[in-house]
Amino acid sequence: MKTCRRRRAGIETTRLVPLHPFARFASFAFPFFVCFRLFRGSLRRVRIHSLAAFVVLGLVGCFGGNDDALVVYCSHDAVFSQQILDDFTRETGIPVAARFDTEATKSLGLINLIVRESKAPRCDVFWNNETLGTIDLAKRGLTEPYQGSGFKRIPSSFKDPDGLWCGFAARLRVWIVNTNQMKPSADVVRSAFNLRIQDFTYAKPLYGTTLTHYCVLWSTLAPDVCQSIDHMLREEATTAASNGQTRDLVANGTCAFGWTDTDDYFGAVDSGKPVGMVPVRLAGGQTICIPNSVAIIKGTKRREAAESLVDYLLSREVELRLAKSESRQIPLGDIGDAELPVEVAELVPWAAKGIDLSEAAAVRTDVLTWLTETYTN
Amino acid sequence: MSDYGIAVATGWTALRAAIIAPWAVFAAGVIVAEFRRTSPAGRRWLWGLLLASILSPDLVAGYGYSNFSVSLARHSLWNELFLALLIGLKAAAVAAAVLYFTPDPALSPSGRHLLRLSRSRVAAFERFRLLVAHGPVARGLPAFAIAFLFAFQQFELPSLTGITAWTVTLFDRQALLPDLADSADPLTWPLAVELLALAPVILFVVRAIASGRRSVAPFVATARSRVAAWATLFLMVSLTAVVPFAILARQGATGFGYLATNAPNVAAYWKEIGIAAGYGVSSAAIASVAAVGLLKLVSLSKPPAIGVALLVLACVPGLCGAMVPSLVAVECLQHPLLLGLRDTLVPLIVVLALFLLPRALLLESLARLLRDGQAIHLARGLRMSPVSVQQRAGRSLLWTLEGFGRFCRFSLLAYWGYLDLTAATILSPPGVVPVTARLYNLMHYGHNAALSAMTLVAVAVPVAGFLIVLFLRRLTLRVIAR
Repeated sequence: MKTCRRRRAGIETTRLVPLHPFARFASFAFPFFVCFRLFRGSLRRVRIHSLAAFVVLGLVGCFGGNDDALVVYCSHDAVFSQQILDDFTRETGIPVAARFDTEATKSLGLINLIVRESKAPRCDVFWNNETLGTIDLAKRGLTEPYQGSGFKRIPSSFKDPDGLWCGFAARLRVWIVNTNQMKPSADVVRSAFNLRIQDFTYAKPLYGTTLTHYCVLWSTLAPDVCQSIDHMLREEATTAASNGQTRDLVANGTCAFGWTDTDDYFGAVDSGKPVGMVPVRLAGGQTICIPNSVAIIKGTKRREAAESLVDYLLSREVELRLAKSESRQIPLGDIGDAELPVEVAELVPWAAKGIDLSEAAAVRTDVLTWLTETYTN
Repeated sequence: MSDYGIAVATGWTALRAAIIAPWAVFAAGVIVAEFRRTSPAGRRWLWGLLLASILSPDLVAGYGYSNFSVSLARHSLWNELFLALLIGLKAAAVAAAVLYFTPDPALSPSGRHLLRLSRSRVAAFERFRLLVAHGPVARGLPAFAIAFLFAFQQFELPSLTGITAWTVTLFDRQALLPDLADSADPLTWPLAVELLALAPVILFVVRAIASGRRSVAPFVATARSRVAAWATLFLMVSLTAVVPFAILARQGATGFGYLATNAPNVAAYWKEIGIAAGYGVSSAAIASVAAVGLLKLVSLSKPPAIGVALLVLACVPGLCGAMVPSLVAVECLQHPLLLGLRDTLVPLIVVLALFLLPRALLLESLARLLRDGQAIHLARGLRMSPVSVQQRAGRSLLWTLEGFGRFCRFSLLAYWGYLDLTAATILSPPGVVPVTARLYNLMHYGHNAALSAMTLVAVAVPVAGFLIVLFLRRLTLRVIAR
């Protein structure tokens, strides 16, 4: 094992040097070549196929992976995050190999993958589109502390005091309303939730931000109240596969109102659908503000590159870019209202009223256990 | 997630498949009767229609109908029935292809007549056993089993239309549980069903290999059955291919602009298409080699039972679909000795090759069945001629007789490998994700013009690649001829 130095954009990284390409070619192709030699006598007719497979397998071995790349597990929408990661590579010269998960099971799928791989981690940086899962990883001791330049600009309520994770660019949980069927006001949706629950839709709460929503309900209301609300929803409302589907159900008028996130709501607005929104507010008047979060995974072999990505993601530029993107994420650090799109600037005061998610994080395991039993049986 | 959840999902999917499969075999019988009645030119059209349905990607149908399914969210029974119709039509196409090539039963019509006459001498149970094991029922069994497996293994359609299926439940489960061993246990339920369905196919294949029979029996087509056959074919092609592609084309018309202008995202997209093509070609190459090798081993093995057993063993993982071997591979890759392979493409390509192997064997066997050995021998002789014109003619003949078929078989396997979703999603290393996994992810956000255009292009690329290779070959031959 030997190391080499990379000096680009003032970043110094230490990495493992991969095998020489020829050695990789040989290591992958040799077993196949042996089999070919063994069977040559009886397999005269397959020589061309064999040669093709030999070459293909060897080439696959050669170019199959990029040992150099910083491995990022990302549950933020690939459409937006891929561009940001590509720009990071362009600016710093650090190649990034990203793994995105499916909309249905993200971010939980990636969190469990990190737990599963904890003995031999391959993820260096986890970019989660919510917070509770990252807090859970930190509790399990699977993240490393880092307090860089980006960390300092995020308010303390949205980050771990030891730097085990840090939040940025948030979304709000909102009531999405079909304006042809209902007026988008807090009183109307609250009354409809009691009287027209059959017109309500919500995403299966096993994953993502709906899971966070449930954890908040569990921690702020009593668990049995949360369970009875869920029972009512399962019995009478429409359960969607994802927040995106919830949005579509309301936007198309199949359901009158539902719970989703601001980014999904704006997706319907951009498509010209008749929708309105009201932030979900708890008994104390707080909103449910769910930031993205980023953490360096314990055991990373590319620590310096990971640090530079974390700083990049927590930078003002990335927050502003996410605010200006179609998903309209709400910046948590100071950006200056002048540069913010109007609809995002309107959300900033709501985000400031966001409930502290630490209590919700404390009950996440209990909620997940209960939901897993409830929704998969 | 408890085993109970998987068991219920497996039971529900098996029930759906058990309802779909007999109907699919019945529809297939009607279609095959029309096949036998029609002229060779008409047969080509029929094959075209069947293949259009079989080869139309489930990802396209699932995405195409996802909005319709969302509109049925409050009428889940209708959604279930619609999905069952879609799967049933595709299963009928697959069953028709299987039935067309299924050898005749050992018990001929005259044999059955004799069996009826000998009622007093042969016990009722024995008569029943003979009819089931060697009569017309036996002929329909492989088609039934394949149609059942096809319906049972569906993933993309149920996933994108929000319908219960064991594949979707298990796929979510492997993402939901930190310890993968917990998600490997419930594999027993679907595996048990799949192996049960596979048993008649294996039995039939073993018998067919031993007897060497070919399919020649005429199917009787009545006027009514002809109408039913064409109605089924019309529905089949419309609902499984034409309508989904039309939906995508209508939406994607404005999305092609995005592909032309959004350079950074599009560059990543083309890279993913290249990755998918690489997976498809390499796994198809390995599956082709393995299929030829296995068939050779079967023909050389003494006693033949060993070769047949080897063949069956090699096919079982692939016949269980791509998800089961993928989950087993993920479990194996946790072992310290295999951990080094985890970040390479090898596990995915090996699993894809295993998944393609039964199809490769089927295609290779069919090719041998239809092969005109004498003509090929003569064409080879012509190619060895010292006269260059004759050499060219020999090469051209060989391509027509042998090469083109081989190229089509390989392309078909590569196309299936290219379109695979489950193995790619579970096993592809970070940064080397194929286009299908990306599209599947994006499809959960709902319809948009860019995504529809991207899906259309992703499906068009392998077709274009196939045509380009054929064109280049023809061009090269012309240049050489000059």
